[in-house]
Amino acid sequence: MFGLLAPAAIDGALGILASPYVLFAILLGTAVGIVFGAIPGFSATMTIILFTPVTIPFEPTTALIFLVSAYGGAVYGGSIPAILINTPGAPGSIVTCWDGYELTKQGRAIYALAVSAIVSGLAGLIAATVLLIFAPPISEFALNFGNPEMFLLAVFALTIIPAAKGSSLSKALLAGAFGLLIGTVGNDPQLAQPRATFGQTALLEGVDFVVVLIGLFVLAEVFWLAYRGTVVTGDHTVQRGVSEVYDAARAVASRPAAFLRGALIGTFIGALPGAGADVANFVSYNEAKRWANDELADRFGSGIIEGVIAADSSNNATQGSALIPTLTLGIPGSGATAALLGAIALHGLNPGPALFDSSGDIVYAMILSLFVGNALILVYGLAGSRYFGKFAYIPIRYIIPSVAVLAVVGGFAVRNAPVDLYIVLLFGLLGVVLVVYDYPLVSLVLGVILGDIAESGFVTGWLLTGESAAAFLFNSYIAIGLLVLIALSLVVTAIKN
Amino acid sequence: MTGITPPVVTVAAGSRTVEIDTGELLFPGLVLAFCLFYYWDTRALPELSMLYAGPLLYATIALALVTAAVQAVSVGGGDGSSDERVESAAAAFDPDTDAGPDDEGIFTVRSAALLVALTAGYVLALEPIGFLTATVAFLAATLYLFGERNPLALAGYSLGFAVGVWLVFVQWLMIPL
Amino acid sequence: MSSTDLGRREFLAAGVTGLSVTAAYGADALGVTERFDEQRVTAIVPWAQGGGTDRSMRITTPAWSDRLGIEFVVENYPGGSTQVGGEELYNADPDGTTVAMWNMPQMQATWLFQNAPYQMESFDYLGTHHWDPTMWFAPPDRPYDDLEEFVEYARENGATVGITSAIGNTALSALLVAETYDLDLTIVNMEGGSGVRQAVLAGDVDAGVNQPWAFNPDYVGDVLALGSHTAEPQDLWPDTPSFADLGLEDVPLVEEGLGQWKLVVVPGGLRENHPDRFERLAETYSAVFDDESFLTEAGNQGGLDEILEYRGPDETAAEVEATSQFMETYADVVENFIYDE
Repeated sequence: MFGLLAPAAIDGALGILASPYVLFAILLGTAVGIVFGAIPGFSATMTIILFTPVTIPFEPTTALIFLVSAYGGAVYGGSIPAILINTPGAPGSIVTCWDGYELTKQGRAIYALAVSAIVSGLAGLIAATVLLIFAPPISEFALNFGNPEMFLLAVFALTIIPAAKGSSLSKALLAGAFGLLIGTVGNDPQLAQPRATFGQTALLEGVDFVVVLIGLFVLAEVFWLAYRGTVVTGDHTVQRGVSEVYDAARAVASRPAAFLRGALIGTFIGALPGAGADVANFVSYNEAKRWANDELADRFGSGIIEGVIAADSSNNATQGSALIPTLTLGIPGSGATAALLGAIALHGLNPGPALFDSSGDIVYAMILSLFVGNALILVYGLAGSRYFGKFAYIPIRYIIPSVAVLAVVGGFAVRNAPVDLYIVLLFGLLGVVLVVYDYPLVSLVLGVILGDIAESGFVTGWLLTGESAAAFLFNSYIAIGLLVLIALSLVVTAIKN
Repeated sequence: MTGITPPVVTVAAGSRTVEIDTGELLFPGLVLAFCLFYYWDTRALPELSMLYAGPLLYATIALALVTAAVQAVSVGGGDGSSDERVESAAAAFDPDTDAGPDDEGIFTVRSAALLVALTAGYVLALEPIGFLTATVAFLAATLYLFGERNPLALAGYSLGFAVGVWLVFVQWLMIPL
Repeated sequence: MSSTDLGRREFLAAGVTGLSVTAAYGADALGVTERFDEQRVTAIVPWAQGGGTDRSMRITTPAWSDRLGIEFVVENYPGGSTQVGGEELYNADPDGTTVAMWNMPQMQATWLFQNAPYQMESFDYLGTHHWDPTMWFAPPDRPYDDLEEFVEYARENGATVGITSAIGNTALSALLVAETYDLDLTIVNMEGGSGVRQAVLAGDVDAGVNQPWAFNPDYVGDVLALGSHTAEPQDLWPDTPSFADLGLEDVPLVEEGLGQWKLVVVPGGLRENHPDRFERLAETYSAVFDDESFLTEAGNQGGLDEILEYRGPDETAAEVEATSQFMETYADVVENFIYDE
């Protein structure tokens, strides 16, 4: 496997990582991620989106490494308020509450936070290794994809979401198709004729997916937060001292199987489009319960450390593997990776199968920075979770207006187009509808993201294969393989439903 | 889930009843409306421009109709599907509320709706009245809505945060807000 | 919560907030919140980062800025086949703080075949930058070695041809060749120079129309150069016959040469209302082409220095006029393609 690694690019990447600026970007990014992740209502997706414009003045490498580090930090940081105030910082930490908060009630918050930091950091390292091993061959393989294959890949990415997420087939497909249709707004690629642009010049270029992402994942979340609120109860006695951290290390060391199971589940689920930390922590928790003996299984939810290990080893492991389809195919499987993809494009890199080829050193530097970042999560988490924990107590009434303002400003900053302000608002409202009626938000965003790939793949492929459906669909073994995968994911979802 | 359950309409046809969950019609309906506009807007375009978008448009319409039929309509009645609706992961989280009495009545459908209205007003006001003014007013109003009553905190935070954002985005990043 | 029951604290809160809103409004109104440093020139690029126009602009602005004494900020407005950036320029104040690098005949196509609100007269023209001739490429394994043989081949078998943009010099060249020899060509827009390059390298198309610099001369030897849409052979791509060499003079625009100009455009009215500023921009821009570091940098960009071709404001305006005329002359060819296919 390692024979496929491009040594020149790795060398370049190590050179990049040796720069003090880049190391500082990892240090700062991870800390920023943990802080914002620790604020209730702030997910990794929001953290990346809101910091992306701030990285514009910086060099692409530094900027992207900062954002990747913030992403990892934010996934871990989401567990801090889950443990301290029973409010997950992000959907990926919902399960952490179940045992983590019980431990806090027992006065063992530091113990739980330390375990969370240890398993998060270590699981992140495992996933980063998987990414480093699998991403290069996959990207190499993806270079064989022609036009019909890119179209079929886009369709596959949309059909596997309901299978991975367990949502309704018709709802997921409708959201995905609507996303693809939104993706066709603007000039058509062949003749440059405007479609559904509402007379807006900015829309000739199409609807920017980052704007849609901000509406669906940031503004809608704020609206939802305004209804849901949160519960802050912070009056628990807290045992302090090094012994708690020592206990935590022992707790993890004595349960290697539990930790590894969670990390591998997270790594696997993270690589699926549409399923991220939010799915992984539920699955991991359920599996941990299933594997436990009856006596232990009954105690899940009562404040046992196995629960925290199951939740937090899985959610941080999703980051590394979620980057596999994002970096190799240009297909992000979650809100956070979609936001990262937006940042990659904003910094002038071309996401897609050619990314490793054209910007290998930057991509490898991003991947390698994950090793540093996850090691830092361990350090920061063990040394400072108490301080990061302070951010969990920021009142929600301050978070709501601040994030709303940042969503609006960020939406405008994407390309300085006033029409984007209204698009953010519209998708913010639409996001609430989608959440209430259980449509997968990621299907819609992915549809918009894949709109261009799907359209040029279809049109170019169709014209070049002599406008015949058979020649198009059976263009290559890869195309046939993708057709089989599409059929499989539809059948699996239909059976599940 | 207080207050946001759109009505379920029951239609009796002979011995059978058909129940329509109108809330489930919302998204398919919005999609259909957009498709209608899209069709109208692109009807005169050359064939090559719609080679992909045309079939996609029809597929989307078909999916919207199927979704509306499958999700909203149930024959026979009794098993109101809205009860077993699974929320998204974020929504599924339901904290065991041991909130103080102060929090009661702050996070409601009404305040969420007011937030939506305020945000819409903010977006509309940005251009005519300027970034700083609109932002300070929006922040103050929203803070008040969600229960901040300390005048110093209210004004200080609104002004401070707005100026901070303005410094970062307008001065440093040169976003022409 | 009810507003009828306004307590003292609420009243104070309302008062203080009202004051801060007023203060903010005052600041806005007094212009305190304008950007501090208005002294900079916005350089609009109607294409994405990393493309040929973007690279040309970015190697030009440092030397230009040295001579002008004002900083440049390059802003990319891709989309609408350059119409998005075009409208940005059209709406900018003609005060000398906005310039754009555009390409012809793409520029004319946005008002001739799209719904752009501006015309040729809506802009003033500062000078040209370089001229890249239209050239045909093919994968090396095909049974033809030049465009004449390709025409024979396509007459028998039909052919697929990749072009760089919906309506521009590459589309026009493909359409003119197809029309002149009555060929059945499937013309596919690959959305950019690198798209055509990839399609040719991968053998997805029978021929690709591009310009030699945009195709990237690093790939000499990997592909077959079929011919350039010119009377004389061009300099950048070795051993490539011109259309005239191949005896393809029946194709229109061979004598004049069909290629892609890059030029610097400013909002209309600048020359008339601020002749001093226009002159200053034009003089400093023309001096860029004598700048050693600029020429070195251009040489590093795949031999751009070899095709640099500066013309002054009046000559540039004449070139824009000429290009507009031939685009109008062949408008029906383009429109047949759009509406009949």
